[in-house]
Amino acid sequence: MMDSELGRLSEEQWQLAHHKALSFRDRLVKQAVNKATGNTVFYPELFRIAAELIEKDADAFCDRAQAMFDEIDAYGQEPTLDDDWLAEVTGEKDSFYFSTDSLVTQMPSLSGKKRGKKPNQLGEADVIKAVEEAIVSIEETISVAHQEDPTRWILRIHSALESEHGCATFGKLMKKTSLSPGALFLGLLLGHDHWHLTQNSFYGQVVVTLVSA
Amino acid sequence: MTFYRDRADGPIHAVEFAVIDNGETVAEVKPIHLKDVPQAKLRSHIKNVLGILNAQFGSDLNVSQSRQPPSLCPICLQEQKT
Repeated sequence: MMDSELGRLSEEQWQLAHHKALSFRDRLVKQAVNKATGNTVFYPELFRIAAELIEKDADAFCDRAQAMFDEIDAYGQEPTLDDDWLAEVTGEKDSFYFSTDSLVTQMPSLSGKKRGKKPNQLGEADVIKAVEEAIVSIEETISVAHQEDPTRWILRIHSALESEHGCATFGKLMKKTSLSPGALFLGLLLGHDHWHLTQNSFYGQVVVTLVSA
Repeated sequence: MTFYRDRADGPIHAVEFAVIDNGETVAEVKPIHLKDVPQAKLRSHIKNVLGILNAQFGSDLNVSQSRQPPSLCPICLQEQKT
């Protein structure tokens, strides 16, 4: 088994390393002699330059090693690219930054329009009371409607039409019968057997004509 | 700059470049396959090509990227023909 396989340098490798070391020392001394003039002391300058060169060599070795590791990792693979790096190359800036200070914390007040007062917070008892009142008012409305006699509306409309020679407009009937528009309308609908309603145009007046007339 | 890959963040099968002026292709850089190519080498390739194109067409060249599926890779299509 050869020495190199045991981790030792072969004669040829040793000669090569020795030659490199000698050329490195010559280069180093030459640089130190050139720079170590005036107040600078020779040996500190020599060691400073030696440190710089060794660091440079070590960096180059690390870069080369990293490149080889990358190649090993990339074997059989297709690469990807960082979006950020691509954005730098293309100049596409699809990300944005903003300060939280610029966030609006309060809505600007509306100009020219006063805002309504905020509704008071209702308690449970208030809500129950309001619902009960609403139910009562609906019941009252229904009872009032039942108390009304649509037949009486029809009779009043009929007599009003007769006094107008069997034909009158909606407005005229309102005046003659003294009924509310709702009651008059309901009366006209419920008593439709006694008259017919005509309207010459869309915006024209509704004319009620007695059938029996 | 056209990347042939399936997903926007997926592995890149191939890359090619074209300089387009007013809708007309005025220069093309042949596509290359990127299998076994480390990311660092791909980056330097892109920078080299863009550097050359900038030198040729001016530094105000707008660089944009597009994506095509690997099935449309010109190298693969050429290989299938032959």
